[in-house]
Amino acid sequence: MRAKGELKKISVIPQIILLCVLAVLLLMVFFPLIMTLIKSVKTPTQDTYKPFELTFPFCWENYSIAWLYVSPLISNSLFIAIMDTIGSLILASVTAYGFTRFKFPGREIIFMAIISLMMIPGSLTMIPKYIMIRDFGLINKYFGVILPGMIAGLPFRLLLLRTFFNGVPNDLFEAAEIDGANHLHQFFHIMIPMCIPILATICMNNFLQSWNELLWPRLILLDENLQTIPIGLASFTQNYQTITGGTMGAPLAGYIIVSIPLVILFAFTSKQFVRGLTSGAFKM
Amino acid sequence: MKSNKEASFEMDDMALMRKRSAAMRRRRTYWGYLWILPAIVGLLLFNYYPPIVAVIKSFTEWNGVNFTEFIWFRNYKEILTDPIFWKGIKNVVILTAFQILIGSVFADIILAELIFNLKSEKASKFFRFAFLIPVLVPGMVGMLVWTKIILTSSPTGFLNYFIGIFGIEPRPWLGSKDTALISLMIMGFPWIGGSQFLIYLAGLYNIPASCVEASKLDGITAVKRIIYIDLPYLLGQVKYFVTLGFISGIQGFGVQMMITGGGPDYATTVPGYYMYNEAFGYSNYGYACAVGMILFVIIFVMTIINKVFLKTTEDKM
Repeated sequence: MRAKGELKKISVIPQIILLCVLAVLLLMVFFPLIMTLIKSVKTPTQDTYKPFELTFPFCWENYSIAWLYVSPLISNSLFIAIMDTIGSLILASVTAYGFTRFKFPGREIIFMAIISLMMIPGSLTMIPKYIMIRDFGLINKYFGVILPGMIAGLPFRLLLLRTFFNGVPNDLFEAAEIDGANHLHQFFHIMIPMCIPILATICMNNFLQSWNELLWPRLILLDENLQTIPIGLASFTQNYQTITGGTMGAPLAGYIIVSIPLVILFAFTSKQFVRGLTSGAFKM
Repeated sequence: MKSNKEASFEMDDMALMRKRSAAMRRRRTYWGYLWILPAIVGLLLFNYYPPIVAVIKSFTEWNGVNFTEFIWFRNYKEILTDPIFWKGIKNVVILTAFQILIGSVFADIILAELIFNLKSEKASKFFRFAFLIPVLVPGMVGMLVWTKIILTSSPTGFLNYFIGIFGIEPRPWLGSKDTALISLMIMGFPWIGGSQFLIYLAGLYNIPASCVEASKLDGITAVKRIIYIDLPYLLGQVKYFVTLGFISGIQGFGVQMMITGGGPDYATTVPGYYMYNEAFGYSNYGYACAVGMILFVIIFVMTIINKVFLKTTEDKM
């Protein structure tokens, strides 16, 4: 922290300028969203004559139309993101536990072999992976999106988790072993509770990644009833514009609706969220 | 205080326990394989097998179902002589360089510096949360809002309205091959927000107070302080974002897949989209695998250069 006492002597004017600059930047960042909000309550006529200002009365009908389209998208996306996140966390932490608490032959070699997978970019694996998922009959199955997602990011998650798992003092496990606790017990009652911060970080990043994923849902979930938010929004916008001759009211209302779930989630977890994102895990 | 005798007894006890637990651990050591087994199976299937197939299939003509014929380097030759591929390389270099330099280094460091220099704890907290909120909005919403409201080609698009104030004629933005690439760069203006600035901010708070004090006593300007004190301290984070931004940028094609389709007239195409299109548009799976291999080689070589280069700069410091 910079010395506060000394700074106080400086006049308040630079601080006010600073605040103003930040406020303007914030406004610019939020401008597209504000515009969406304003335009989402316009009828097509209002949009043509006064495209950028608030117009009355508000056309709430846009929201009821949009809700019909986007509510299944939200539940699909939530289901996939939650299953993907839970699956990833369990798989990564179980594996990391195996690598930290057991000293089996070939441990470091296997670990390096897994970590070196991070060198292989997704573009190289994309096509054979797609063919494989298709041949497994997982097209139009949620599992076809969740399973590869769980495994693709595993090397990175494993690297993070093993570092943190190694930091848990060994005495805790020895004490538990003397009390007769088996490894399953040690895993759930010592390792997991001790590593909640890093698990929360991985959880958040994983969820956001799954929530925003474009490629796999688009390739695998072809059935319209299974589509996720990003894919469904694009086709909703296109279809609606084609049918109505270019109006945007309902799609824009849809954009606002799909943005709400995570904002609500954030309201409850903001502290953990910020701590997770700023923890030292994310630098080299 | 414990008596000597008691203490030594305790020591013996502890040693015994350690020995026992060590023995216990040794006995159970092979159980480790069981803990890592699910991951190994999954990785073999989804992370080891596909790249091997990709390498092999890149030398073939493959329709993805039942036809495979080895044609060796013909795919590579065709790709490397295809002007559209080179157009894609040019585009992706421009886009990635812009995204990294402006998006994840310049803009976010500026934002972190601004917030860092706020004196009021309340204001700093408010801005930290406020600038984070864009992360929560699905990326697709951002893309759609920019294309459908701001970069619309009609005069009612916001950007056309805005430049109209200054008497500039409306432009087609994403609809014209001259402005499409620039439009992709404009998307997301002012390119700040998200979580990266928080990581820079955390880095700034880690700078030792003595460093800052000394700089103040010397009376250096804010700009000099940022360049000579703050930036060197943020080098780790910058490296992280540059590496990650490069790897994801060079193979990314989200906007192309969802919005532009690489057009108009290949103005926004990138190698990743070129590959996607060859595979899922024309079923040229072997050809697409070869594009994937070329991307892999580019990323691999650049990562190594990056490692070597950044190491030498570190040594100099």
